[in-house]
Amino acid sequence: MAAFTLSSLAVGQRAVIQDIHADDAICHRMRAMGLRAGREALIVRRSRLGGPIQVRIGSISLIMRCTDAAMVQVAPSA
Amino acid sequence: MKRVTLVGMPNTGKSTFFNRLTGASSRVGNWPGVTVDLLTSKTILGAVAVEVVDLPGIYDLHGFSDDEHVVRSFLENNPVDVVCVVLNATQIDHQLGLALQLRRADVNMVVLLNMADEARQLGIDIDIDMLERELACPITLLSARSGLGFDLARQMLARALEQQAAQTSPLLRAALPNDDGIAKQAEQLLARAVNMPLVLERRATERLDKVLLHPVLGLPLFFVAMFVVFQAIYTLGTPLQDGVAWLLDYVREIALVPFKDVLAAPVYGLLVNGIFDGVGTVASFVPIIILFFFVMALVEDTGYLSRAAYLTDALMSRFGLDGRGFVMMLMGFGCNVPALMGTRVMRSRRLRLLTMLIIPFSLCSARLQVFVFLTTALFTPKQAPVVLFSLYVVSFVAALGTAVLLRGRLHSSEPFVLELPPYRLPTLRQVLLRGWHEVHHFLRRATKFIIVGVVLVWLLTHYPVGDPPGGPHSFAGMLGDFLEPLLSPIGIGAQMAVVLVFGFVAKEIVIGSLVAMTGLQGASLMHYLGQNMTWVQAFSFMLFVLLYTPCLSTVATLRSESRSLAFTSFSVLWAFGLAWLVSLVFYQGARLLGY
Ligand SMILES: Nc1nc2c(ncn2[C@@H]2O[C@H](COP(=O)(O)OP(=O)(O)OP(=O)(O)O)[C@@H](O)[C@H]2O)c(=O)[nH]1
Ligand SMILES: [Mg+2]
Repeated sequence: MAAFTLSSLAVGQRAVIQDIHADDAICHRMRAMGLRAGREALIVRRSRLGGPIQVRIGSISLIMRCTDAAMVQVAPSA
Repeated sequence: MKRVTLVGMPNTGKSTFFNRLTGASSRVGNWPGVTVDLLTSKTILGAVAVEVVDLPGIYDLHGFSDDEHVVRSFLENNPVDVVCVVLNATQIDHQLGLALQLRRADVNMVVLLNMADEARQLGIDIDIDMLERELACPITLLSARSGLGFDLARQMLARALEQQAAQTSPLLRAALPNDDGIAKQAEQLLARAVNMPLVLERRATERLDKVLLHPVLGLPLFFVAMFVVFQAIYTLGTPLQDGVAWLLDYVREIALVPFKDVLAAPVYGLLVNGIFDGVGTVASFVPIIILFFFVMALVEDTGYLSRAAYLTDALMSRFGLDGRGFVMMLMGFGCNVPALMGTRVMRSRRLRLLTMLIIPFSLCSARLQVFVFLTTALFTPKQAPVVLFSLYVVSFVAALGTAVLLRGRLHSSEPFVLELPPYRLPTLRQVLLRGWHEVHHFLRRATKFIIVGVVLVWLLTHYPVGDPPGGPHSFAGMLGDFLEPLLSPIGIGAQMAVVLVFGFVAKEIVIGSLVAMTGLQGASLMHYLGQNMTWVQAFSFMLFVLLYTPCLSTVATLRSESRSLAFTSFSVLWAFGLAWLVSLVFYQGARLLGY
């Protein structure tokens, strides 16, 4: 299974969250906000000039910086 | 007294429910992190008096940001009879875990599934009975905003209070690291009790976002909207302001002027020319302030603030800040104090400090009064709004410039992840409540500071020799002489020195003290200012007022939020230095150019 990151997905693509590569506190925070392993994420929009992306996970919409999305490992959804 | 606390994730409607339950006016807004401090209010539930506590939102019980710390330390140090868990029913897949976490801590709890109206629209079906059995606590659907299901929720709370459960400190026990188990349990429970459509259709929100978050048009639209809103406030507000001024003048002629010959001259001067006119002039700004806060409440309640954070994050990241910092600056347009407290949602101390350094440059509503008054006095009606808008631009530039210079020392790597709530229609009740609350706050502050300030300024400008008032032989004149070397390079006359000194306490005093000092008000004061100041001097004065420390309350908040005297002193000195430099460059530059 090819490993890639949430930030590399294009708009409209879905992927399943695997893992977050960050220190414990940040990991914990991101999980609490909804970025849990096993959940499917959909990229709703990307902004220009390195701005944030919008991700939908189940019922919630999150905006996150590309650099932070790069910490989230995902795998293609089934 | 028994105690009920509201616990839940940010933006689930805790404060809305709290206000409905207790009649209090906790601030509500469609932005995660509106409540950052605890608020208590009393009410009667069943037959007992209870204290209800509105807490900031928490994502889980192990959070470490300053607003979450408020929740933790409250729950650790205070016995609670009933924990009222407020969940957003439309996000139950995401929030049920928090209820389970509390369940494991074995607390006496009631679960409210709020936003039932939205859940129904989205076609989310929740088996309440099954959830009640599994969680072993009373649960009900609620729409805190419309009041649907409110009576039932109230009764549930009253019944839960009757149980003589041991008072618990839930947090200590919940702090056990058993998150994984909880996630699994939540998953299983959800599969059995909740029927959620695969795709939640929020069509209105999606359509609006297509336009408002457009990759190219989004940001320009934001600035256009800001300009329009600002123009609207100004165009609607100034005639209203004239109306109030006229009314006060009328009262003055009828009720006060007749005493002119009865009272001793200094007493009449102090009472009428000082206090009445000073407070009256400030009161004439109330309509603008009301309009202003109505608009703020509208914007906060729609959910646009999170969008503003999305749109500006790329820009802000270049300044070492993030989109939330921009939103705090916007909030600072109302009042800097809650904006400073709003930074509690940031977890990195450095990011928080950097954001707190720039917020005081936000042109708050108290400064707006000074500028509306001065621009009307010194510029044509066509120029005035443009000059005013340019001050907002300066406010942004000063803030971002500060960030650029200091971001190296306050570098942080806090992730920027923020919830994007759906757009919600603000309710009239909410907007009025909020508007009223702010106006009340403003008037209390205004009267408190102004009466004292105005009396002091009047005394300083009329004694020992008050001819002309504020002249070289009055106390104010002596102060002006003393500060002359500092103020003359930036084109501010000695008479204004005392105004600036009092302006440090609160900007609401500035216009009031001009009134008290000159004994003039309204149009005649404007005329007087037009005669005694060039527009270059006036603009330099406004730049200074914009940039130097907003008020003592801001300083006190900086101190308490940063818990650092050094940081607070730095912030004050920095603002003062920047104010002086910017005014100097502007004033001397304009003079060189021949103005
Ligand atoms: N549709 C709908 N909206 C609601 C309901 N209750 C609250 N809201 C809206 O949800 C938003 C958040 O409400 P708040 O009461 O500020 O939420 P909170 O939980 O106190 O949020 P924080 O203080 O940030 O933790 C506001 O825009 C409310 O108008 C509801 O029952 N239905
Ligand atoms: Mg709240």
